[in-house]
Amino acid sequence: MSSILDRSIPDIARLISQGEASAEEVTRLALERIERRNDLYGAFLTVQAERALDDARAVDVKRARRERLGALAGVPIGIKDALCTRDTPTTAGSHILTRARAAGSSEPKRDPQRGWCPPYDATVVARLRAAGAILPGKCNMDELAMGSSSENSAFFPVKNPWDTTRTPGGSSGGSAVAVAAGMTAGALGSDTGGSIRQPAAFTGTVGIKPTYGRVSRHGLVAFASSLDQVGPFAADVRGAARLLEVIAGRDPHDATSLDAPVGDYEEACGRDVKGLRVGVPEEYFGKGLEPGVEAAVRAALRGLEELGCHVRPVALPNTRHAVAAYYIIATAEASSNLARFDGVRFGLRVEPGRGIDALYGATRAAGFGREVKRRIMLGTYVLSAGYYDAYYLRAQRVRTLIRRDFDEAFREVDVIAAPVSPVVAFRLGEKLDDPLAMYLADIDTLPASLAGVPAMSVPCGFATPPGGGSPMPVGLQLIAPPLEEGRLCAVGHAWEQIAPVHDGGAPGKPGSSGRAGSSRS
Amino acid sequence: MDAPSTPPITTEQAIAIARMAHLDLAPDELERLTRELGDILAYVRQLEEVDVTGVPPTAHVQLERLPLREDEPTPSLPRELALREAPRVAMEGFAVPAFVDEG
Repeated sequence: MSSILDRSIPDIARLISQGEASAEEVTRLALERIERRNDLYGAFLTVQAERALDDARAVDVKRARRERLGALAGVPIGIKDALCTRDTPTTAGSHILTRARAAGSSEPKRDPQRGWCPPYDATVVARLRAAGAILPGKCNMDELAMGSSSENSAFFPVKNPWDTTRTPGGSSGGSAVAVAAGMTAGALGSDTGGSIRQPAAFTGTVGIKPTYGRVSRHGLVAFASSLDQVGPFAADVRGAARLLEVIAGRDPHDATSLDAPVGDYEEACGRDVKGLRVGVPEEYFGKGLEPGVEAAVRAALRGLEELGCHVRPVALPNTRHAVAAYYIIATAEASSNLARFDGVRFGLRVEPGRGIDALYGATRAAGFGREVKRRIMLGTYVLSAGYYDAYYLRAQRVRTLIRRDFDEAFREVDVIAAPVSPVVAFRLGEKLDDPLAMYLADIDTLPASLAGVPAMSVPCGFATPPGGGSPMPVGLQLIAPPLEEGRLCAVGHAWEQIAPVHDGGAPGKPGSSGRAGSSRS
Repeated sequence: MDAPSTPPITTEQAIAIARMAHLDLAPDELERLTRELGDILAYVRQLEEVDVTGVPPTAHVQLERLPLREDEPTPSLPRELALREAPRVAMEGFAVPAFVDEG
């Protein structure tokens, strides 16, 4: 039994604006599903039921008065907790953005409800609200967006609805699961090195990392400023396209946001892709790629050929250096950005004794988790005197080589197609004690981040994990030249029409069979 | 290239880095981090083999020249809102411990 919440975002908005469904009824559905499923999946840190219902009723009143409704009127959208929401707890998954308990209090030590309440909305959040979207809550994530499994949340891990012993990927795992489990029709995440694309792949959803600068970051808790981008999750390409159109565009509050006109991404869905040149980088099909993932991605490439695309090899020879370059550059930037968490202006404050250094050191030691400390240490080291040239400057030069690879490739092809991740969703705890193994699994998403080009993850079937277990979703990564998000939507949407689908829809939704099928719709 | 010699990082270096980063680390935490950083640094040293002669560094991938905003004052956050989430407030400002040594 499928419900309106399982429809594509443009369909939900249309049904509400035509009065065939009320925003309140759709919002209640979302809240019921969150209520029923969140203990199991851990996708939301904060739920704001009353505020969401008030906003939904306001949409219904506007409709009754025949006022013009926005592009997302009445559509429930989850918000990654790294994005500021006015007067609503915003923790970025970190203990350091929570207030300390009162002494002797019986409250839980770590409680997202004690999170920092920003005095303003992130620009993307304000744009969603202006378009009529309903925001039922804040999505769980790896602490300060550092991680690839959402296990680094300071509060509780997120679980993959396809198999709850597995991670949903990260860092935007809560956003991906909100959509995969049908709790919200769409969600916003942020992607620094793959944090939208990889969880989208692991959960069988669509995720877009836009061109660097395409979407405002005003109100995004910063991780690595030369890489961070905000982007959408949805159940299908059209839904992600609608969301991207709403959030994209120049913002005077973000000096790095681009002035270039926003494309007609939704209209691009349905555009003919015949004759498009699709490049396949063999560097993405090397050691470490699970056979099931390779089979699903190669089948998708044949599908693109059937659609009339010219599929041909393309070279991205510096791909193998992406992990090393990324983890130097991203941690260097993070060590600087995270200096703002000092116990003075917001969040946690621990004062063990006298002096400012004691305040800083104790607050940060108590507030940051393992992975964040690891990255701050690494970033501080590569920026320190004597090592700057050997590590940081060299990584920036390698970044130039990686960018040039893409410049060269896009002289020959219109779009690049590759896996999103060499592996399917791994088990909870599997890589937690081996940080380098966790980093190495990011190899397929890091190059596009370093080059600043737009990329999408679109589901391309299922693969059985090497150790056995139920089949898990696989993502096809599409990468385009700067500002060609419309081209990604065209190819992603065309592929989606012939892609293998799960015979019962995503798990967690009513009527799901919970089994993966390979039949074509 | 003046690459550091092995081992990638000593405990003394890790202590110095933690101090620069304002992280009071417990001894067991410091020991674990030193080991993990060593592993990661050993891996990222693969960049030494890349020929980057004459290659300029990429600090950002900005497509456009960033426009300057109009040089006009705009309203900023009211004081009481800015202070609302401060863990400690004193004299209408953020409270900080003394940091000038008057000794």
